[in-house]
Amino acid sequence: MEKINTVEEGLNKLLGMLEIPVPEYEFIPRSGNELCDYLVLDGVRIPLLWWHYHEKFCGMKDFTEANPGKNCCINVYSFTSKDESISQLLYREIDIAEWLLGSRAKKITAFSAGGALNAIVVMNNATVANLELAVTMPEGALPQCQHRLLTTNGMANDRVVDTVTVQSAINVFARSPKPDVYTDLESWLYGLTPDDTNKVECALALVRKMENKDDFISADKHLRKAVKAALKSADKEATCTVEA
Amino acid sequence: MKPIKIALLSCNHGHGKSYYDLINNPFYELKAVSVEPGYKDKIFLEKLPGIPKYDSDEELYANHPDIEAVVVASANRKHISQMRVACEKGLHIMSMKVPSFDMDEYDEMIDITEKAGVVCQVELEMRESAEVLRVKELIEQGAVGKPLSITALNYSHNPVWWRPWQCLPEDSYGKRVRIRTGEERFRGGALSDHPHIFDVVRFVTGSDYESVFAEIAPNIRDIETEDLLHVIGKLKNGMTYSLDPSYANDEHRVVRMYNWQKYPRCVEVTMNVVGTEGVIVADVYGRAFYHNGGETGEYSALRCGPRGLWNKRMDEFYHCVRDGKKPTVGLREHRRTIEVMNAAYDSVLTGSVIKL
Repeated sequence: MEKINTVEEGLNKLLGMLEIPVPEYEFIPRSGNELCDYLVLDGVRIPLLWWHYHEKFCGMKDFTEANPGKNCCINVYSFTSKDESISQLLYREIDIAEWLLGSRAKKITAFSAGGALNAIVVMNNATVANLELAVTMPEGALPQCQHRLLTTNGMANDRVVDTVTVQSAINVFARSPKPDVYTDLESWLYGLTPDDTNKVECALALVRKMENKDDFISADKHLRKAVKAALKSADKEATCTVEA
Repeated sequence: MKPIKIALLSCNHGHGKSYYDLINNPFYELKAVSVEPGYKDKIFLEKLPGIPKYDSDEELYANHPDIEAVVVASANRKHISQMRVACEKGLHIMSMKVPSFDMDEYDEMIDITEKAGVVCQVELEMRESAEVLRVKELIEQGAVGKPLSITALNYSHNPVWWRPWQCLPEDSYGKRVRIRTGEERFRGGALSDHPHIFDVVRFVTGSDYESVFAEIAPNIRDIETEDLLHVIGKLKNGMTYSLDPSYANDEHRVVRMYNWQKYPRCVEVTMNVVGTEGVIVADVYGRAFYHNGGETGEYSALRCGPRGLWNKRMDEFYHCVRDGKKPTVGLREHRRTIEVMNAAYDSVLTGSVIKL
């Protein structure tokens, strides 16, 4: 079984399978205090908002676009390991909330304690995101999250009924009482983690110009202001407006 | 063991039906129920065969002068008047989860029950949950290190068409108070119906609220009270908290009572605890089974649980009445939770963080 080991390998393989010439590009993984990964393409550094290619968020986005009802709020808990920062998690979760609610953050009220932060984000369209975030899980732990979108015509949730934790496709009960788990999303990218698979899919969309790089660049500029407002709010324990 | 002679009043509170099992409880003799006008066909009275049913409390009391205790199972607005009468008669009281949002009225309840020397216990059944007790123990054992944050969600499907008082500001909140300037909504919706998670946070952390900020989202239903609401803030021990007491499970279009418990569940309670060394993700109200064998073939969720046990809060109530014990949650203990809920409404009104 051929295995894909890196995002670049995966992108090159998909381009090859689609008979698209591989352009000059560079994938820059997030490091240190950076808030996101980047794809440098045609000399432009593009923030890679790869979670837009997460299959569950895509499904939820499709739901909102087809839904005759109106969005009301999204309720989120998102817990990751200590190798991620609250700023990085805020950046991603605010973006997911804005993308699904179809509006940008207007004002944020947050409280924090160590690696935990709770925030209420009011969007320009008056919808609300409730974010419960933490970066205290042990390294290697499977991040846990739930995104529940409530609308005037039903709800959408990335956790299916009767589950509050992320499920895995394959569970192996063999070497220890706790199962070894695997989630493989794409046979052409077999071997990549789900996140890296999404990164390849996002990069591919940018190369194919199915995704507008300017949208990501604009979103990134705004998201940095939103993260700043959230951290300021947590510091002051008062509502802060996101800079226009 | 001497059973307590007890009556249920009004029976139109959402929790009213959970006291129907007193009919099988050897510690009690359910003598009679009164039925709120307009609710006779909506509150499953057929589950009380042989129990006398009256159209008013007065009629009930006139026919059963030997009653020792009552469950005040009415709309929030009616609690004070029913408690006054019960105290005048020297009857012990099991109160619904929200005795009153009017703090003067609340203090009157404390005063009259104490002067009458009767037990007044507040029903907060989440404290009886084995799952909640486990979360509490895990926190106390330091399972996730020093606790940093706690979040709790309590979703329910209310208000349902067969219990209309729950979306009437006067019946639920006690009076008509605009939720904030310029809004066509009033206090008395989802927040007013979900004190449990406010209480459970105090219970499992052993701390108290220091600040509260709340925000409402656009409603999912066409009602004049709030149905989606988020509350965050800090506890006195430095932990942050986030509460979501919303009417998020929308069943308002359901027209058949028999099949109203649809996906995901009619009621959900989850809790997460973040500590310095990890997180707890807990579904503390998760016992449900699912089927699609109903009349319409819809996917339905039904709550299930242990059999052969009765309502634990009524076990405590019995020992309070007969053995002179003090309820874990009486009116005095619960007062702070109601204060915090009112502060959440004040935060929505002012748009600011309220320091408690």
